[in-house]
Amino acid sequence: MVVLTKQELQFRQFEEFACISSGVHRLHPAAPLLVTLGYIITLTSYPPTAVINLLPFALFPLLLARFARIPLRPLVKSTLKVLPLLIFIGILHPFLDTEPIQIGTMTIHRGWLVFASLLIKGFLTILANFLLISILGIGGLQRAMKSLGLPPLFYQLFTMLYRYIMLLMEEIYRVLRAYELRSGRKPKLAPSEWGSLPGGILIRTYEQGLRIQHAMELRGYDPEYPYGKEQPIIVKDIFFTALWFAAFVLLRLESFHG
Amino acid sequence: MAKISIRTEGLSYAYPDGWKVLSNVSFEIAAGRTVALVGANGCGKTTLLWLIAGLLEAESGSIYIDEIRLDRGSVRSLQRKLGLAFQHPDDQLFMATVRQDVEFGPRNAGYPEAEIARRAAEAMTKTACLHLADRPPYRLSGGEKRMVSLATLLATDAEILLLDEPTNALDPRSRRNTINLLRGLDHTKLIATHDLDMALDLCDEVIVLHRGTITAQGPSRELLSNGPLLEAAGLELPLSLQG
Repeated sequence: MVVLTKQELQFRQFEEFACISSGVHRLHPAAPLLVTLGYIITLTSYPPTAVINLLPFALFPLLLARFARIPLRPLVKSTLKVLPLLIFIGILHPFLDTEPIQIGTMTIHRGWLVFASLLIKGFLTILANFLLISILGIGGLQRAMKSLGLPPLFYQLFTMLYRYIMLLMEEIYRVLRAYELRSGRKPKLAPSEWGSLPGGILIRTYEQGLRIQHAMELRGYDPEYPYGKEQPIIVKDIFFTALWFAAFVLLRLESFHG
Repeated sequence: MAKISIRTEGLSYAYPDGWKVLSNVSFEIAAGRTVALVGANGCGKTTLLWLIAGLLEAESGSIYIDEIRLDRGSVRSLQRKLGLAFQHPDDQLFMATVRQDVEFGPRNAGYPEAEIARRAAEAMTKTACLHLADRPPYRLSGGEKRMVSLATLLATDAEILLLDEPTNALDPRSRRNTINLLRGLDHTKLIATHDLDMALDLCDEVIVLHRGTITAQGPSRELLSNGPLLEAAGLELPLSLQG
Protein backbone atom coordinates (compact mmCIF):
# COMPACT_ATOMS: atom_id res chain seq x y z
CA MET A 1 0.00 0.00 0.00
CA VAL A 2 2.77 2.39 0.93
CA VAL A 3 4.43 1.69 -2.42
CA LEU A 4 1.22 2.70 -4.18
CA THR A 5 1.07 5.97 -2.26
CA LYS A 6 4.59 6.84 -3.29
CA GLN A 7 3.94 5.84 -6.86
CA GLU A 8 0.78 7.91 -7.00
CA LEU A 9 2.69 10.91 -5.69
CA GLN A 10 5.46 10.31 -8.21
CA PHE A 11 2.98 10.45 -11.08
CA ARG A 12 1.50 13.62 -9.63
CA GLN A 13 5.03 14.98 -9.42
CA PHE A 14 5.36 14.89 -13.21
CA GLU A 15 2.71 17.60 -13.48
CA GLU A 16 4.54 19.64 -10.86
CA PHE A 17 7.75 19.42 -12.87
CA ALA A 18 5.83 20.94 -15.79
CA CYS A 19 5.59 24.16 -13.73
CA ILE A 20 9.38 24.55 -13.55
CA SER A 21 10.69 27.55 -15.46
CA SER A 22 13.46 26.51 -17.86
CA GLY A 23 14.45 27.11 -21.46
CA VAL A 24 12.99 23.72 -22.44
CA HIS A 25 9.70 24.48 -20.66
CA ARG A 26 9.42 27.77 -22.55
CA LEU A 27 9.70 26.08 -25.95
CA HIS A 28 6.61 25.63 -28.12
CA PRO A 29 5.08 22.36 -26.82
CA ALA A 30 5.25 20.78 -30.30
CA ALA A 31 9.09 20.88 -30.18
CA PRO A 32 9.60 18.47 -27.22
CA LEU A 33 6.79 16.26 -28.53
CA LEU A 34 8.37 15.97 -32.00
CA VAL A 35 11.83 15.38 -30.54
CA THR A 36 10.52 12.65 -28.23
CA LEU A 37 8.66 11.02 -31.11
CA GLY A 38 11.84 11.17 -33.23
CA TYR A 39 13.79 9.65 -30.36
CA ILE A 40 11.37 6.77 -29.89
CA ILE A 41 11.12 6.05 -33.62
CA THR A 42 14.92 6.03 -33.99
CA LEU A 43 15.38 3.87 -30.90
CA THR A 44 12.83 1.29 -31.95
CA SER A 45 14.15 1.20 -35.51
CA TYR A 46 17.26 -0.68 -34.38
CA PRO A 47 17.37 -4.42 -35.08
CA PRO A 48 16.08 -6.69 -32.29
CA THR A 49 19.60 -7.79 -31.30
CA ALA A 50 21.09 -4.26 -31.04
CA VAL A 51 22.40 -3.58 -27.55
CA ILE A 52 25.70 -1.66 -27.63
CA ASN A 53 24.38 0.73 -30.30
CA LEU A 54 21.47 1.68 -28.04
CA LEU A 55 23.62 2.84 -25.14
CA PRO A 56 24.39 6.35 -26.50
CA PHE A 57 20.63 6.94 -26.56
CA ALA A 58 20.65 7.07 -22.75
CA LEU A 59 22.24 10.50 -23.17
CA PHE A 60 18.96 11.98 -24.48
CA PRO A 61 16.94 11.74 -21.23
CA LEU A 62 20.03 12.66 -19.21
CA LEU A 63 20.70 15.82 -21.21
CA LEU A 64 17.08 16.84 -21.69
CA ALA A 65 16.33 16.46 -17.97
CA ARG A 66 19.44 18.51 -17.20
CA PHE A 67 18.42 21.29 -19.61
CA ALA A 68 14.87 21.24 -18.25
CA ARG A 69 16.14 21.26 -14.64
CA ILE A 70 14.01 18.20 -13.88
CA PRO A 71 15.44 15.71 -11.36
CA LEU A 72 15.83 12.41 -13.22
CA ARG A 73 15.74 10.22 -10.12
CA PRO A 74 11.93 10.17 -9.59
CA LEU A 75 11.40 9.57 -13.31
CA VAL A 76 13.85 6.65 -13.29
CA LYS A 77 12.20 5.24 -10.18
CA SER A 78 8.78 5.36 -11.82
CA THR A 79 10.19 3.78 -14.98
CA LEU A 80 11.74 0.97 -12.96
CA LYS A 81 8.25 0.11 -11.69
CA VAL A 82 7.28 -0.76 -15.28
CA LEU A 83 10.36 -2.95 -15.71
CA PRO A 84 8.64 -6.17 -14.46
CA LEU A 85 6.15 -5.80 -17.32
CA LEU A 86 9.01 -5.56 -19.84
CA ILE A 87 10.69 -8.61 -18.27
CA PHE A 88 7.38 -10.49 -18.49
CA ILE A 89 7.07 -9.61 -22.19
CA GLY A 90 10.61 -10.64 -23.10
CA ILE A 91 11.55 -13.38 -20.66
CA LEU A 92 10.87 -16.25 -23.04
CA HIS A 93 13.28 -14.99 -25.72
CA PRO A 94 16.46 -16.44 -24.12
CA PHE A 95 14.80 -19.85 -23.92
CA LEU A 96 13.10 -19.94 -27.32
CA ASP A 97 15.73 -18.22 -29.46
CA THR A 98 18.83 -20.31 -28.85
CA GLU A 99 20.72 -19.49 -32.04
CA PRO A 100 24.39 -19.01 -30.98
CA ILE A 101 25.98 -15.63 -31.63
CA GLN A 102 29.70 -14.89 -31.35
CA ILE A 103 30.61 -11.69 -29.47
CA GLY A 104 34.40 -11.41 -29.29
CA THR A 105 35.50 -14.63 -27.65
CA MET A 106 32.09 -15.28 -26.11
CA THR A 107 29.19 -17.23 -27.55
CA ILE A 108 25.69 -16.50 -26.29
CA HIS A 109 22.15 -17.28 -27.36
CA ARG A 110 20.60 -14.72 -29.69
CA GLY A 111 17.57 -14.62 -27.36
CA TRP A 112 19.60 -12.99 -24.59
CA LEU A 113 20.53 -10.13 -26.91
CA VAL A 114 16.89 -9.71 -27.98
CA PHE A 115 15.86 -9.69 -24.32
CA ALA A 116 18.49 -7.09 -23.37
CA SER A 117 17.61 -4.94 -26.39
CA LEU A 118 13.92 -5.07 -25.49
CA LEU A 119 14.64 -4.00 -21.90
CA ILE A 120 16.82 -1.07 -22.98
CA LYS A 121 14.40 0.10 -25.68
CA GLY A 122 11.40 -0.26 -23.36
CA PHE A 123 13.10 1.46 -20.45
CA LEU A 124 14.33 4.42 -22.49
CA THR A 125 11.00 4.81 -24.31
CA ILE A 126 9.01 4.92 -21.08
CA LEU A 127 11.55 7.25 -19.46
CA ALA A 128 11.32 9.59 -22.47
CA ASN A 129 7.52 9.63 -22.17
CA PHE A 130 7.63 10.45 -18.46
CA LEU A 131 10.12 13.20 -19.23
CA LEU A 132 7.81 14.58 -21.93
CA ILE A 133 4.88 14.75 -19.48
CA SER A 134 7.22 16.39 -16.95
CA ILE A 135 8.12 19.08 -19.45
CA LEU A 136 4.73 19.74 -21.01
CA GLY A 137 2.17 18.70 -18.43
CA ILE A 138 -1.13 17.43 -19.76
CA GLY A 139 -2.21 20.87 -21.03
CA GLY A 140 1.02 21.35 -22.98
CA LEU A 141 0.72 17.91 -24.50
CA GLN A 142 -2.79 18.75 -25.67
CA ARG A 143 -1.60 22.03 -27.21
CA ALA A 144 1.25 20.20 -28.93
CA MET A 145 -1.16 17.64 -30.42
CA LYS A 146 -3.49 20.39 -31.58
CA SER A 147 -0.68 22.38 -33.19
CA LEU A 148 0.41 19.25 -35.07
CA GLY A 149 -3.08 19.01 -36.57
CA LEU A 150 -4.35 15.99 -34.65
CA PRO A 151 -8.16 15.81 -34.51
CA PRO A 152 -9.73 17.17 -31.26
CA LEU A 153 -11.28 13.79 -30.49
CA PHE A 154 -7.78 12.30 -30.25
CA TYR A 155 -6.44 14.68 -27.62
CA GLN A 156 -9.77 14.81 -25.78
CA LEU A 157 -9.70 11.04 -25.39
CA PHE A 158 -6.05 11.17 -24.39
CA THR A 159 -6.68 13.79 -21.71
CA MET A 160 -9.74 11.99 -20.41
CA LEU A 161 -7.84 8.72 -20.16
CA TYR A 162 -4.90 10.38 -18.42
CA ARG A 163 -7.09 12.10 -15.84
CA TYR A 164 -9.17 8.95 -15.32
CA ILE A 165 -6.05 6.87 -14.65
CA MET A 166 -4.86 9.44 -12.09
CA LEU A 167 -8.21 9.40 -10.30
CA LEU A 168 -8.37 5.61 -10.51
CA MET A 169 -4.99 5.31 -8.82
CA GLU A 170 -6.10 7.63 -6.01
CA GLU A 171 -9.33 5.70 -5.55
CA ILE A 172 -7.51 2.35 -5.52
CA TYR A 173 -5.16 3.74 -2.92
CA ARG A 174 -8.04 4.98 -0.74
CA VAL A 175 -9.94 1.69 -0.96
CA LEU A 176 -6.87 -0.43 -0.28
CA ARG A 177 -5.95 1.76 2.67
CA ALA A 178 -9.49 1.48 4.08
CA TYR A 179 -9.39 -2.29 3.52
CA GLU A 180 -6.02 -2.60 5.19
CA LEU A 181 -7.13 -0.66 8.26
CA ARG A 182 -10.26 -2.76 8.75
CA SER A 183 -8.93 -6.18 7.81
CA GLY A 184 -6.50 -6.69 10.67
CA ARG A 185 -3.63 -5.57 8.38
CA LYS A 186 -3.96 -8.51 6.03
CA PRO A 187 -1.23 -8.10 3.46
CA LYS A 188 -3.33 -9.12 0.44
CA LEU A 189 -6.94 -9.01 -0.66
CA ALA A 190 -8.65 -12.38 -0.38
CA PRO A 191 -10.01 -13.59 -3.76
CA SER A 192 -13.55 -13.60 -2.35
CA GLU A 193 -13.26 -9.88 -1.61
CA TRP A 194 -12.21 -8.97 -5.11
CA GLY A 195 -15.70 -9.43 -6.50
CA SER A 196 -17.24 -6.19 -5.27
CA LEU A 197 -14.17 -3.97 -4.97
CA PRO A 198 -13.23 -3.29 -8.63
CA GLY A 199 -16.79 -2.36 -9.60
CA GLY A 200 -17.11 0.08 -6.71
CA ILE A 201 -13.73 1.62 -7.44
CA LEU A 202 -14.53 2.11 -11.13
CA ILE A 203 -17.96 3.65 -10.45
CA ARG A 204 -16.65 6.02 -7.79
CA THR A 205 -13.78 7.06 -10.06
CA TYR A 206 -16.23 7.65 -12.91
CA GLU A 207 -18.43 9.79 -10.67
CA GLN A 208 -15.52 11.85 -9.41
CA GLY A 209 -14.29 12.26 -12.97
CA LEU A 210 -17.73 13.56 -13.90
CA ARG A 211 -17.71 16.07 -11.03
CA ILE A 212 -14.27 17.33 -12.06
CA GLN A 213 -15.48 17.62 -15.66
CA HIS A 214 -18.44 19.69 -14.40
CA ALA A 215 -16.11 21.89 -12.32
CA MET A 216 -13.99 22.49 -15.43
CA GLU A 217 -16.96 23.26 -17.65
CA LEU A 218 -18.43 25.67 -15.11
CA ARG A 219 -15.19 27.62 -15.33
CA GLY A 220 -15.44 27.88 -19.10
CA TYR A 221 -13.44 24.83 -20.20
CA ASP A 222 -14.11 23.66 -23.73
CA PRO A 223 -12.44 20.33 -24.50
CA GLU A 224 -11.95 21.37 -28.12
CA TYR A 225 -9.60 24.15 -27.01
CA PRO A 226 -6.61 22.91 -25.05
CA TYR A 227 -5.89 24.81 -21.87
CA GLY A 228 -2.86 27.12 -21.63
CA LYS A 229 -1.07 30.03 -23.18
CA GLU A 230 -1.06 30.27 -26.98
CA GLN A 231 2.45 30.69 -28.36
CA PRO A 232 3.87 30.86 -31.88
CA ILE A 233 6.62 28.57 -33.19
CA ILE A 234 9.84 30.58 -33.31
CA VAL A 235 13.43 30.00 -34.47
CA LYS A 236 14.65 28.45 -31.20
CA ASP A 237 11.88 25.80 -31.39
CA ILE A 238 12.96 24.84 -34.90
CA PHE A 239 16.64 24.90 -33.88
CA PHE A 240 15.98 22.67 -30.83
CA THR A 241 14.03 20.16 -32.90
CA ALA A 242 16.49 20.15 -35.81
CA LEU A 243 19.49 19.70 -33.51
CA TRP A 244 18.07 16.64 -31.79
CA PHE A 245 16.86 15.13 -35.04
CA ALA A 246 20.36 15.59 -36.52
CA ALA A 247 21.84 13.81 -33.49
CA PHE A 248 19.42 10.88 -33.83
CA VAL A 249 20.07 10.55 -37.57
CA LEU A 250 23.84 10.68 -37.05
CA LEU A 251 23.70 7.99 -34.37
CA ARG A 252 21.53 5.82 -36.57
CA LEU A 253 23.78 6.24 -39.63
CA GLU A 254 26.83 5.52 -37.48
CA SER A 255 25.34 2.17 -36.49
CA PHE A 256 24.68 1.33 -40.17
CA HIS A 257 28.37 1.89 -40.96
CA GLY A 258 29.54 0.31 -37.74
CA MET B 1 -38.11 46.30 -6.92
CA ALA B 2 -34.88 44.30 -6.53
CA LYS B 3 -33.58 42.31 -9.46
CA ILE B 4 -34.18 38.58 -9.12
CA SER B 5 -30.98 36.55 -9.54
CA ILE B 6 -32.41 33.05 -9.21
CA ARG B 7 -35.99 31.96 -9.73
CA THR B 8 -37.32 28.42 -9.93
CA GLU B 9 -40.87 27.43 -10.84
CA GLY B 10 -42.33 23.99 -10.15
CA LEU B 11 -38.95 22.30 -10.35
CA SER B 12 -38.94 18.51 -10.15
CA TYR B 13 -36.18 16.03 -10.62
CA ALA B 14 -35.91 12.25 -10.41
CA TYR B 15 -32.76 10.16 -10.74
CA PRO B 16 -32.66 7.54 -13.54
CA ASP B 17 -33.55 4.82 -11.03
CA GLY B 18 -36.86 6.59 -10.41
CA TRP B 19 -36.00 8.12 -7.03
CA LYS B 20 -37.76 11.50 -6.95
CA VAL B 21 -35.38 13.92 -5.26
CA LEU B 22 -37.16 17.23 -5.85
CA SER B 23 -40.83 17.90 -6.30
CA ASN B 24 -42.46 21.19 -7.33
CA VAL B 25 -39.75 23.44 -5.94
CA SER B 26 -40.43 27.17 -6.43
CA PHE B 27 -38.53 30.07 -4.90
CA GLU B 28 -36.75 33.26 -5.83
CA ILE B 29 -33.64 35.01 -4.58
CA ALA B 30 -33.08 38.73 -5.04
CA ALA B 31 -29.72 39.99 -6.27
CA GLY B 32 -27.09 40.39 -3.57
CA ARG B 33 -28.95 38.29 -0.99
CA THR B 34 -27.38 35.45 0.95
CA VAL B 35 -29.73 32.52 1.32
CA ALA B 36 -29.19 29.26 3.19
CA LEU B 37 -30.63 26.04 1.86
CA VAL B 38 -31.12 23.75 4.84
CA GLY B 39 -32.50 20.27 5.26
CA ALA B 40 -31.62 16.79 6.45
CA ASN B 41 -29.21 14.54 4.55
CA GLY B 42 -30.60 13.38 1.22
CA CYS B 43 -33.33 16.03 1.03
CA GLY B 44 -32.10 17.27 -2.36
CA LYS B 45 -29.89 20.28 -1.54
CA THR B 46 -26.97 19.27 -3.74
CA THR B 47 -29.29 18.20 -6.56
CA LEU B 48 -30.98 21.61 -6.44
CA LEU B 49 -27.62 23.40 -6.68
CA TRP B 50 -26.60 21.17 -9.61
CA LEU B 51 -29.89 21.92 -11.39
CA ILE B 52 -29.40 25.68 -10.95
CA ALA B 53 -25.82 25.34 -12.21
CA GLY B 54 -27.13 23.62 -15.34
CA LEU B 55 -25.32 20.35 -14.60
CA LEU B 56 -28.58 18.39 -14.46
CA GLU B 57 -31.70 18.84 -16.54
CA ALA B 58 -34.98 19.19 -14.64
CA GLU B 59 -37.73 16.66 -15.23
CA SER B 60 -40.24 19.50 -15.19
CA GLY B 61 -40.34 23.16 -14.16
CA SER B 62 -38.09 26.08 -15.01
CA ILE B 63 -35.03 27.90 -13.70
CA TYR B 64 -34.33 31.55 -14.45
CA ILE B 65 -30.95 33.16 -13.89
CA ASP B 66 -31.18 36.97 -14.03
CA GLU B 67 -34.61 36.42 -15.59
CA ILE B 68 -33.20 34.38 -18.48
CA ARG B 69 -34.57 30.88 -18.71
CA LEU B 70 -31.94 28.18 -18.26
CA ASP B 71 -32.16 25.72 -21.13
CA ARG B 72 -29.84 23.96 -23.57
CA GLY B 73 -29.45 27.12 -25.63
CA SER B 74 -28.60 29.44 -22.75
CA VAL B 75 -26.76 27.13 -20.37
CA ARG B 76 -23.20 27.95 -21.53
CA SER B 77 -23.65 31.72 -21.33
CA LEU B 78 -25.53 31.55 -18.01
CA GLN B 79 -22.89 29.31 -16.47
CA ARG B 80 -20.46 32.24 -16.79
CA LYS B 81 -22.59 34.07 -14.22
CA LEU B 82 -22.53 31.12 -11.83
CA GLY B 83 -19.83 29.77 -9.57
CA LEU B 84 -20.40 26.39 -7.93
CA ALA B 85 -18.25 25.28 -5.02
CA PHE B 86 -18.53 21.51 -4.77
CA GLN B 87 -19.06 19.73 -1.49
CA HIS B 88 -15.58 18.20 -1.69
CA PRO B 89 -12.86 20.65 -2.79
CA ASP B 90 -10.95 17.75 -4.34
CA ASP B 91 -13.60 17.71 -7.08
CA GLN B 92 -12.86 21.32 -7.84
CA LEU B 93 -9.07 21.45 -7.81
CA PHE B 94 -7.47 19.60 -10.68
CA MET B 95 -4.45 21.59 -11.87
CA ALA B 96 -0.81 21.12 -10.88
CA THR B 97 -0.55 24.25 -8.73
CA VAL B 98 -2.94 26.52 -6.86
CA ARG B 99 -2.08 29.45 -9.15
CA GLN B 100 -2.91 27.42 -12.27
CA ASP B 101 -6.20 26.35 -10.72
CA VAL B 102 -7.19 29.91 -9.85
CA GLU B 103 -6.12 31.12 -13.32
CA PHE B 104 -8.13 28.36 -15.02
CA GLY B 105 -11.44 30.28 -15.20
CA PRO B 106 -10.12 33.67 -16.40
CA ARG B 107 -7.84 31.96 -18.93
CA ASN B 108 -10.76 30.02 -20.42
CA ALA B 109 -12.72 33.28 -20.54
CA GLY B 110 -10.03 34.58 -22.89
CA TYR B 111 -8.62 37.39 -20.76
CA PRO B 112 -5.12 38.70 -21.59
CA GLU B 113 -2.24 37.38 -19.46
CA ALA B 114 -1.94 40.54 -17.33
CA GLU B 115 -5.65 40.45 -16.46
CA ILE B 116 -5.49 36.72 -15.68
CA ALA B 117 -2.59 37.33 -13.28
CA ARG B 118 -4.36 40.32 -11.69
CA ARG B 119 -7.60 38.40 -11.13
CA ALA B 120 -5.78 35.37 -9.73
CA ALA B 121 -3.69 37.50 -7.35
CA GLU B 122 -6.77 39.41 -6.18
CA ALA B 123 -8.78 36.22 -5.59
CA MET B 124 -5.92 34.56 -3.73
CA THR B 125 -5.36 37.68 -1.61
CA LYS B 126 -9.07 37.85 -0.67
CA THR B 127 -9.05 34.20 0.37
CA ALA B 128 -5.68 34.51 2.13
CA CYS B 129 -4.06 31.82 0.01
CA LEU B 130 -1.55 33.84 -1.97
CA HIS B 131 1.26 32.09 -0.08
CA LEU B 132 0.00 28.76 -1.41
CA ALA B 133 0.14 29.85 -5.06
CA ASP B 134 2.93 27.52 -6.15
CA ARG B 135 1.88 24.50 -4.10
CA PRO B 136 0.03 21.51 -5.59
CA PRO B 137 -3.62 21.54 -4.42
CA TYR B 138 -3.64 17.88 -3.38
CA ARG B 139 -1.02 18.59 -0.70
CA LEU B 140 -3.07 21.27 1.05
CA SER B 141 -5.07 20.85 4.24
CA GLY B 142 -8.87 20.67 4.09
CA GLY B 143 -9.25 24.33 5.16
CA GLU B 144 -6.69 25.50 2.61
CA LYS B 145 -8.38 23.51 -0.16
CA ARG B 146 -11.70 25.11 0.75
CA MET B 147 -10.20 28.61 0.52
CA VAL B 148 -8.52 27.83 -2.80
CA SER B 149 -11.76 26.43 -4.21
CA LEU B 150 -13.46 29.73 -3.28
CA ALA B 151 -10.59 31.64 -4.90
CA THR B 152 -11.16 29.70 -8.14
CA LEU B 153 -14.73 31.09 -8.20
CA LEU B 154 -13.79 34.65 -7.24
CA ALA B 155 -11.33 34.89 -10.12
CA THR B 156 -14.15 34.30 -12.63
CA ASP B 157 -17.01 36.56 -13.74
CA ALA B 158 -19.49 34.75 -11.49
CA GLU B 159 -22.14 37.00 -9.96
CA ILE B 160 -24.01 34.18 -8.23
CA LEU B 161 -22.26 31.73 -5.92
CA LEU B 162 -23.73 28.30 -5.25
CA LEU B 163 -21.90 26.87 -2.28
CA ASP B 164 -22.30 23.28 -1.18
CA GLU B 165 -21.41 22.87 2.50
CA PRO B 166 -18.70 25.58 2.54
CA THR B 167 -17.90 25.09 6.23
CA ASN B 168 -17.98 21.30 6.17
CA ALA B 169 -15.03 19.68 8.00
CA LEU B 170 -13.35 22.97 8.85
CA ASP B 171 -11.72 23.75 12.17
CA PRO B 172 -13.28 26.66 14.13
CA ARG B 173 -10.80 29.25 12.89
CA SER B 174 -11.05 28.18 9.23
CA ARG B 175 -14.84 28.14 9.60
CA ARG B 176 -14.78 31.68 11.00
CA ASN B 177 -12.46 32.83 8.19
CA THR B 178 -14.79 31.31 5.58
CA ILE B 179 -17.82 33.02 7.11
CA ASN B 180 -16.01 36.37 7.22
CA LEU B 181 -14.90 35.95 3.63
CA LEU B 182 -18.43 35.12 2.44
CA ARG B 183 -19.86 38.04 4.41
CA GLY B 184 -17.54 40.41 2.56
CA LEU B 185 -18.66 39.28 -0.91
CA ASP B 186 -21.29 41.22 -2.85
CA HIS B 187 -22.38 38.18 -4.88
CA THR B 188 -25.80 36.60 -4.64
CA LYS B 189 -25.17 33.47 -2.58
CA LEU B 190 -27.15 30.27 -2.21
CA ILE B 191 -25.53 28.13 0.46
CA ALA B 192 -26.51 24.51 1.04
CA THR B 193 -25.51 23.77 4.61
CA HIS B 194 -26.02 21.78 7.79
CA ASP B 195 -24.23 24.51 9.72
CA LEU B 196 -27.31 26.30 11.05
CA ASP B 197 -25.23 28.60 13.22
CA MET B 198 -23.48 29.83 10.11
CA ALA B 199 -26.84 30.25 8.38
CA LEU B 200 -28.08 32.29 11.34
CA ASP B 201 -24.93 34.39 11.41
CA LEU B 202 -24.45 34.95 7.70
CA CYS B 203 -27.66 34.50 5.74
CA ASP B 204 -30.53 36.94 5.16
CA GLU B 205 -32.99 34.18 4.39
CA VAL B 206 -33.42 30.45 4.79
CA ILE B 207 -35.10 27.91 2.55
CA VAL B 208 -36.08 24.73 4.37
CA LEU B 209 -36.13 21.64 2.20
CA HIS B 210 -37.73 18.42 3.40
CA ARG B 211 -37.93 15.26 1.28
CA GLY B 212 -37.58 17.25 -1.92
CA THR B 213 -40.13 19.97 -1.23
CA ILE B 214 -39.81 23.43 0.25
CA THR B 215 -41.55 23.61 3.60
CA ALA B 216 -40.62 27.21 4.44
CA GLN B 217 -38.78 30.24 3.13
CA GLY B 218 -38.23 33.39 5.15
CA PRO B 219 -35.91 35.49 7.30
CA SER B 220 -33.21 33.33 8.84
CA ARG B 221 -33.69 34.44 12.45
CA GLU B 222 -37.41 33.76 12.27
CA LEU B 223 -37.19 30.31 10.70
CA LEU B 224 -34.10 29.09 12.51
CA SER B 225 -35.65 29.84 15.91
CA ASN B 226 -38.78 27.87 15.00
CA GLY B 227 -38.13 24.55 16.76
CA PRO B 228 -41.20 22.63 15.52
CA LEU B 229 -40.53 23.65 11.89
CA LEU B 230 -36.92 22.51 12.07
CA GLU B 231 -37.90 19.34 13.93
CA ALA B 232 -40.37 18.46 11.15
CA ALA B 233 -37.60 18.90 8.58
CA GLY B 234 -35.26 16.56 10.48
CA LEU B 235 -33.19 19.44 11.87
CA GLU B 236 -32.46 20.97 15.27
CA LEU B 237 -32.22 24.51 16.54
CA PRO B 238 -28.81 26.14 15.97
CA LEU B 239 -26.47 25.56 18.92
CA SER B 240 -26.43 29.27 19.70
CA LEU B 241 -30.23 29.21 20.22
CA GLN B 242 -30.33 26.04 22.30
CA GLY B 243 -30.73 26.60 26.01
